[in-house]
Amino acid sequence: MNDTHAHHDDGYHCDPEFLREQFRRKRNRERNERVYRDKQKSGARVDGIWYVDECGNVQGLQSIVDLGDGFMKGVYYDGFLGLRRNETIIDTEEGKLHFSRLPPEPEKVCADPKAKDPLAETLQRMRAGAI
Amino acid sequence: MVKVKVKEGYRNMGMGGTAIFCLDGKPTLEASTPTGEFLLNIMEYLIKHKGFERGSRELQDAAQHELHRSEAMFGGEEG
Repeated sequence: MNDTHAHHDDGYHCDPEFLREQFRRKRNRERNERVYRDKQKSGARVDGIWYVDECGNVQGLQSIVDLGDGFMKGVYYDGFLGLRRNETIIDTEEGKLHFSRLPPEPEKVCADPKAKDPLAETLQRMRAGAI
Repeated sequence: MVKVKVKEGYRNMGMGGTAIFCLDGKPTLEASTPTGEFLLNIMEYLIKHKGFERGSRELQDAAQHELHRSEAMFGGEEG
């Protein structure tokens, strides 16, 4: 009789490893969102222009997308260098956001460094309190 | 591709998702919460491997059951 019961369960339930992986993904996403909310509560404007990373540097964050599975992709504007870069944000085991920078966009690298960049100007004006 | 709010039949699952209707007419769902994504993946598995009918009450109940079961089974594991 026990075999019958076991067969019923096996036919109804997901494969345990599949279920474990889905559970792990869900928990990672929940943790990411918790970190995200904590950042907001701490006063950091993670959904706006400014964002303070784990090193205390202010970044201009334009958007952030949770890709699931512990990864979030943020596109930010680095006001210090005047370059826009794609940035992958990795949720570490400690639950802290860690930045892993990708190479600058080619067109930005080749661009004339003295050329005016409207985004850089906007950030400078915001820092100066003009906006 | 047209996005609409979560389709009829999934509305009681606590999912804030959107349905994407593909060109072949088969709707797939897009979750906006971790639990919603979990349930969608489980439902797809149950449809593909266990023969559940898409959108059925039985499918939703089974997915919810797997959600509770996963928490009981793996909730104590290190992340």
